[in-house]
Amino acid sequence: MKWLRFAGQYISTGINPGDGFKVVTNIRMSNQFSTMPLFGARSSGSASTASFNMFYTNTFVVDHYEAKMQPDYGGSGSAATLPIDFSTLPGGEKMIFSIEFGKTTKVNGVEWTSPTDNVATPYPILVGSISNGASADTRKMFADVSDFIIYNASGDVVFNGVPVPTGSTEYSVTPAPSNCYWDLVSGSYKVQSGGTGVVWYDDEDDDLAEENSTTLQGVDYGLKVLAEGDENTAYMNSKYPLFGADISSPASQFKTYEFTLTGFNAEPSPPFPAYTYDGNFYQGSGVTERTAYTIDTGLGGSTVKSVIVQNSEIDNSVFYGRAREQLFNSGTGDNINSLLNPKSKTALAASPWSTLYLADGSTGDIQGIVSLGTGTSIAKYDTLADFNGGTLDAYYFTQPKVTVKIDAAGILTVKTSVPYNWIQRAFIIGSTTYRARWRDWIWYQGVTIRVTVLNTPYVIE
Amino acid sequence: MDPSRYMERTLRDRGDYGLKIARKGYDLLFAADNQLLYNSAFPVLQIVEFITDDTDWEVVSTGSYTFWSDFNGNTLTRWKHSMRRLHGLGHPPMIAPLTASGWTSVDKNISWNLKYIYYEKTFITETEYNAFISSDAPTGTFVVFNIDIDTDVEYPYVDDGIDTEWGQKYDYGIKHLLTDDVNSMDPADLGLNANVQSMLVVAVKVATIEDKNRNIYLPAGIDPEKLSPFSYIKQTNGRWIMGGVSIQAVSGYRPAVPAAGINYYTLDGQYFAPKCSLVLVRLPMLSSDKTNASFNM
Repeated sequence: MKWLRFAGQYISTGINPGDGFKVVTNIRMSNQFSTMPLFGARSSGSASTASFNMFYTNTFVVDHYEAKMQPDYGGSGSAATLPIDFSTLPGGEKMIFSIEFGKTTKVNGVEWTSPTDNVATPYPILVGSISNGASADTRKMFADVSDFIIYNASGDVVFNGVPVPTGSTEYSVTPAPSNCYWDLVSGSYKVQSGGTGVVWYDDEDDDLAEENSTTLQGVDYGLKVLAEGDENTAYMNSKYPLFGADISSPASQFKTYEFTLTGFNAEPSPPFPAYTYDGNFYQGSGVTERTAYTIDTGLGGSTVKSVIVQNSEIDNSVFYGRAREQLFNSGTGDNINSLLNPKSKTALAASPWSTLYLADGSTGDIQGIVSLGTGTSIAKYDTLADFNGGTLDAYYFTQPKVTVKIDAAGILTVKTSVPYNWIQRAFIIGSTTYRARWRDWIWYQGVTIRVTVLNTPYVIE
Repeated sequence: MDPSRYMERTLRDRGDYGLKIARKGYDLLFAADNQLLYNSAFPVLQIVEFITDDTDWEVVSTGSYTFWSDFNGNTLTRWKHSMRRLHGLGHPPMIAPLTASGWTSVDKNISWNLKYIYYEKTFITETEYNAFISSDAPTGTFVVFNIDIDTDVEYPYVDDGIDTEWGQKYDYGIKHLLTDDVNSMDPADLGLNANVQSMLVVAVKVATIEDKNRNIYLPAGIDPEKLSPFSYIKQTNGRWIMGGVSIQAVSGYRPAVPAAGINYYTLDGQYFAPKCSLVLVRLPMLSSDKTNASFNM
């Protein structure tokens, strides 16, 4: 489909709407958060006595936006709203709306019939904006419009605009002066009539390949298995090697390693600064990383591999935390160096997950535990000697991690990281000296990670 | 689950023709699928080619172009390198990256249709463009598989893997020579080679924008835990790109999570594009050697 793309510009069709008129077009747009005039004309601004126009609206309702197409056919108060759901689309991704606008309007098949007929105005139908009486609506439209066809009450086409790029001679020996419509009815170009910037052109059909364009390459011998009912498609062609493991290899080329995390290796050693006796809390966070396991898979040689990494579920039952409090208070006589368990904990949950990676030689670091969500995990502690007011809630924005890697020599390495937080405070008041250091950390225990490696015999030259 | 959302079953018949070779020790007449060395009906994963930084491409266009800002309609100068490569398969193939990040960071510079593979990269600055060109336009590494991602099909080959004695030498079988040396067993010299036990496609499911809510695929006869999904999206210009896992916004598909009671896949790329394809791949019918270990974090 060919499109004219608008971002505040508009084109006048030169056609004034009469009663019974109809527009047929397609509009392609991403989610927009403002009201946009799409096309049409009305006798004045808001509350027009006659209107033949269409808006896009998006209003904030309680806690979310509601996007709608708003056909406004007839006098004031005849506007309808046809809801659109952009909510699940990736940002910037566009939807295409097939629009028939008239007494009965259809947007992607959803219908609405206007109760009134008073649409005739002495102002032209604009594309990319609307005529508010003699002037164009000043709000910008950000959307693409395909062919734009206007029918009169008799069903005759009175305007049939097809998008053309600058310089096109597809419809006339006179090159198109800009990206614009060529009106098949009047045989003339309809160019940008207002707005800053320029109208753009997009032809998304320009590289569509034709069916039956198969080009068979390579050897003229071998074996094929054709797809049922389609002699042009070989779903097996013996000239192509198989992605798999060679069983004539002397050692297994297909191995599974299952790792179970059993606890934390060593208490983290945060980079506590020297004590500053000012009463302030100093704090920070970090991770302790280590190589937890290595094994020679015997699958070296820079071959192409398939690696499936799977993790079991992450929930509170496998989520652990611990803290160490060190506190000296000469006034109270406290001299504490104790490990503490949390009174409650909440993991950032993650589903059991499986991902297949294809790798050439070294895999690089692969996440052993996949957490699709983002957020925090929490461990809550009762502290000793009223440190931090007696309780401390430790938040973790970084979660315990496991990465696996198989290098070109076939060595499988598992690395782990344990996140931690630390707090330090010290002061001297009179004869009382107070020093406190706190560290807390989290880990997983009982989680399994399975790595399945299939080694192909192929090396990419 | 609303039954109207289940995708139509498109199970391919096993057929009564073709070529089968039994593994040593098995009688071909009675051999199960996992006792075969080769079966021409198996939906094997065949490597058409590896695309690397050294692959030859046809440069379609390169240099500066006029970029239109859809924010204000102003035009700017930007740079683009656009190239293509004939794959000659007659159907859009399955293409996968050979990187550790793989499906967690989809490369949208690569796209393809039933004839060509395209690699297009745009640059905001001329310096970036020049650096790319002076590095011989590196693309990264991909593998192209001879799988038609545009045809909805399911296959009945779901047997578990069985134990295998490695290092077996067969004095029978089938191999396709890509060399004059008929004795060669070098994988680089061979196309089809029955000694290579292939990964298999269990299903290719295609959802369309015309019937976008018919998008639930429930695998039959095999636990989703044994399947690896690859998602693809057909754009309005006819080219396919890689899809991703949908976390919040739709990106391609939502995975089956059997341990959480979700035994089906949900295709969703067709909510913003004409088609969405999900290729489900399984490991060969071999059992793997297993090693268990436990350690502290």
